[in-house]
Amino acid sequence: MSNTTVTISTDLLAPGLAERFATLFAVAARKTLRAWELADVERADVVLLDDSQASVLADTGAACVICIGYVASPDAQTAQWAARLGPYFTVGDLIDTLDRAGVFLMDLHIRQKTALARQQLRLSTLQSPLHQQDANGPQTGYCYRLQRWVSLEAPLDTPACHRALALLTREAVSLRQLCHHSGLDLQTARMLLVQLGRRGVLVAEAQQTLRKAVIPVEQPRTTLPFLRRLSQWVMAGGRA
Amino acid sequence: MSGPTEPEDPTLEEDSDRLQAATLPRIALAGRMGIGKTTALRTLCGEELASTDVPNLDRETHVKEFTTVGAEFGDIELGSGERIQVCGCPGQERFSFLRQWVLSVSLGVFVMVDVRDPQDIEEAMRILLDVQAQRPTPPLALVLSTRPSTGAEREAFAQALAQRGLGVVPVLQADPRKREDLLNALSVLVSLLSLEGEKK
Repeated sequence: MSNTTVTISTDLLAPGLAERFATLFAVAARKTLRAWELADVERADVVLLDDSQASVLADTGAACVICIGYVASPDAQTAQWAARLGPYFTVGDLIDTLDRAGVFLMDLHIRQKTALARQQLRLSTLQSPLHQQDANGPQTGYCYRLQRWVSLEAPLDTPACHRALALLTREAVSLRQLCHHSGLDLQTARMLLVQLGRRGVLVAEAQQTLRKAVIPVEQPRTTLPFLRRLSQWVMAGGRA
Repeated sequence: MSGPTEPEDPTLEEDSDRLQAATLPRIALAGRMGIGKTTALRTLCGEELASTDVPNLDRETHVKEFTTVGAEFGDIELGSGERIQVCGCPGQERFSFLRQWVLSVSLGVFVMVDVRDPQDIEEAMRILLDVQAQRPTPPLALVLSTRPSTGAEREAFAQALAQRGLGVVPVLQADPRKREDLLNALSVLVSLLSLEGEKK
């Protein structure tokens, strides 16, 4: 079995569940097929969610998701692999689930390597730019919307979070739109959505969307020239 | 040898003025008399404003010595010759036609209220209904709480607006004397405009 370490995140678990998981994980991790390491949600291969998060935060960005609770529906996740653990899971349940995730990830890595090799071969013989368009197909994503206005507390009571909150009142926006138009980083945006989900004011809507080009980090937040200038003026503390 | 110069066509100049009026980006400040619109204008644009203050003849309902008649204007210079105009709407109801005009030429509106004052809910509702009635595209609206308030009070104000059918409206804390507060509110408006621009 591969010795590659698998990263797992408990950032999105409620404190009580996270503590229980940590206790059982300390035992289970020694008995699973692969080596495990705790990591931030952004870097993790496997993300753990509880009931309050699984129903609203469908897009964690991780390849694998494990939902802990009664009503969490793994089917709603956009991860490539999802599983459910009951709220009173045992060490044996955890070992079994972690092993299944570990095997899936190993298989995924092999498939990705194979796909990459094929793509490189294909690109080297591609002539028609139209083929690039055909490669873009529909992608299921999630958009989020605020049901009612709420006030934010530290550490989320920042101007960037207020901008994100206002965007969520306007229409259902994707995580990518939220970050792009508010200037929030991905991790804080997820944290904000988690908090809003816990307060019961967030609605997640599945949306079939065409694949869009990834917005590069360097691209200005605004597209209209005067908006760009106004944004720069504001960020400069009201100086031209 | 140079010939006589041709007289300028006044209609061209009028058209140019109308075009400029239509295309100059504007942000409106709306709210009842004494809520801090003029103060906010001065905080954002400096002391040089185009205003029309007259003695307040309604001292029974408001203690201000002077009140603004008509709209009040200030400019924000963004550099490279670009500017944005900030317009303060008169607070008295009898000048509501001017408020309608200012809203009709604005990209965004700051509705300034005291979230602790029950009367301001009705005032905010009147203004927001005027905003939503603008065509073809209503300006984006934010509510600013200009007096000290708690998060719970701002939430309650927002909920009261939603219950009156106005949807989910952002309610932010912004002291009109504090430039940082107003800049944060402006940054929220910019984000919303940026999202709107994505659709075009």
